[in-house]
Amino acid sequence: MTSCARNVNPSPEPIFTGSVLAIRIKGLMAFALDYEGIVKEYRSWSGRRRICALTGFSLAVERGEIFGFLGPNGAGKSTAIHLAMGFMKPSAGSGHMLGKPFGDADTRKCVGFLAENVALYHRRARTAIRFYGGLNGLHGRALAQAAADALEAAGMQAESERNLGQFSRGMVQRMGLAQALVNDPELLILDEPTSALDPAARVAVRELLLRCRDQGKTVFLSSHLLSEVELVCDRVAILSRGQVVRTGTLRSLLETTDRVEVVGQAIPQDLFAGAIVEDSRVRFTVAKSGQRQALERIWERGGEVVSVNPVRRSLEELFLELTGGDSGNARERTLEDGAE
Amino acid sequence: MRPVLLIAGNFAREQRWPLFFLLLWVLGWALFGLLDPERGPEDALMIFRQLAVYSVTFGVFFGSSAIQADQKSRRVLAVLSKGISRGQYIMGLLAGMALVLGIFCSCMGFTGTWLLGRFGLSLSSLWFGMLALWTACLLTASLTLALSTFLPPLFAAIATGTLAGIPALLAFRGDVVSKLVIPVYGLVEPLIGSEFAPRWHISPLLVVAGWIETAVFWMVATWIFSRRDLAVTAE
Repeated sequence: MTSCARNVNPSPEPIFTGSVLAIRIKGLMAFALDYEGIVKEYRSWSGRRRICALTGFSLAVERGEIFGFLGPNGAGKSTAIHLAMGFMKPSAGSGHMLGKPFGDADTRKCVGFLAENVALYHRRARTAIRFYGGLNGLHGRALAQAAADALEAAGMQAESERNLGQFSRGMVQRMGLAQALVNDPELLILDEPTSALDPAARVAVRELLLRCRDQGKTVFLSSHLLSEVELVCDRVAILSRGQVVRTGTLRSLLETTDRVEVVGQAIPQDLFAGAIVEDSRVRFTVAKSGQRQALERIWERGGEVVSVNPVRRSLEELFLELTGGDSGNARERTLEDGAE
Repeated sequence: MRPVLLIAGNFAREQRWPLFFLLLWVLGWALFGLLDPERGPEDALMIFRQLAVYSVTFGVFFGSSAIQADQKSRRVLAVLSKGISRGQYIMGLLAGMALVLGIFCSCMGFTGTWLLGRFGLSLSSLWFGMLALWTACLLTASLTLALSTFLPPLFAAIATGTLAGIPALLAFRGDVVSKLVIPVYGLVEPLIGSEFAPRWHISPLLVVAGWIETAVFWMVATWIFSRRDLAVTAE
């Protein structure tokens, strides 16, 4: 299989070492994806109706990580992805993919992309994957091998002689994954890759993503399935109303709370409001500021403190907190007659 | 070049059923001559004229729907996410149209050789006529393709008719230069307008102009398509 990793040097020495330019170049090369103050506006034919999909959108995805990209419907996730792929141009701002400006055709040879609601030409599965591999410059035996590998990775090898027109939605989605993998990409951009898959296939895709990371690939994963993101992503960004509202490692995002969970034993349950008893241990949460006081009360009563941990929110809780449970974000940002 | 050929082959494959029915039409023409050999050259020529007009119409049909079909079905995203430029994509579509229309014109040429050749039509004249027809079809397809980069298919087809028709009207009124501007009519006129004659007179200059203008429309299509947003639907 032709490897893009061989074609792109992940950390080349800058030409003008020490200069501001060199620092900038080094920064660009370190990121798989880099959005800088992107604004994207959709306009109607008359220009009177405008929808602002992204406003001052900045984000950097490091190489070799699985990056989760979250946001409610209409938050601008697909727009951000389509900008990176060069399907559209930003109204303002700029961005880089694997160190090259967005839209560079040669760079896309090292990128695998799976669109939301993927649609592929109706051909035999194997021929279709060879077609998409051929578009990336693969040919001959290398292409045949790459297509076979991609079909196997997507769990579609047994169906390789069937026509895509006969496939279910989930099978087409797996074929979409296979066409994204056929060029052994350095960067995988996946927009809702598991939305149509059954639980077993979802697990398989999750394992595939983890394998990709182990191979040094970068995965940019846009998904509504928060549990899935929580399981595989190293870092996440949450998008709301066209802007990144929070970004960081999952650990840091989920543990940033002002409450702690205390587990004690040999104390009465009614000592603390809302406490629950599990296996003779009393579990309750208190504000960080009241942590010391709570521990002293346990000791005063002759009890024992088993553990004290920061309360870990679920990704779903954080998501709802940051986005306010919004949906149809883009519609809310519709601007009429130039009104801001 | 390989991605262009792949897109061209894929386009031809996607259009295999329309092409099949077009070829059935030519086959029907051949059978018409086979079953009734007593019919005169005028009858055979009449069907030939019809086919020539239809082939140009199919050029408009292919040109107006190619990008729209890919965009509407979202298949274009999987294609353009690969390492190819928009220009290569447009060139691939145009090459695919050239292939489909070339197959059709070749079949017309072979059938015409058999049917019209019997009545004394010069074969070199017939095949040059087929080259002119193919050029006219391709020119029409490229013009429609360029227009379809920013117009819906129906409007692109109407605009093609208008843009190709105006120079034809001017040329009809004696304007010599207009003959060379989008010379669709000039290229097919000897095939569809003239009476049966041993030779058809088609200016090679018109064929050359047709090729040059096809290339120009490809460049225009590329220029516009490269500046257009592909997926404009807000989530």
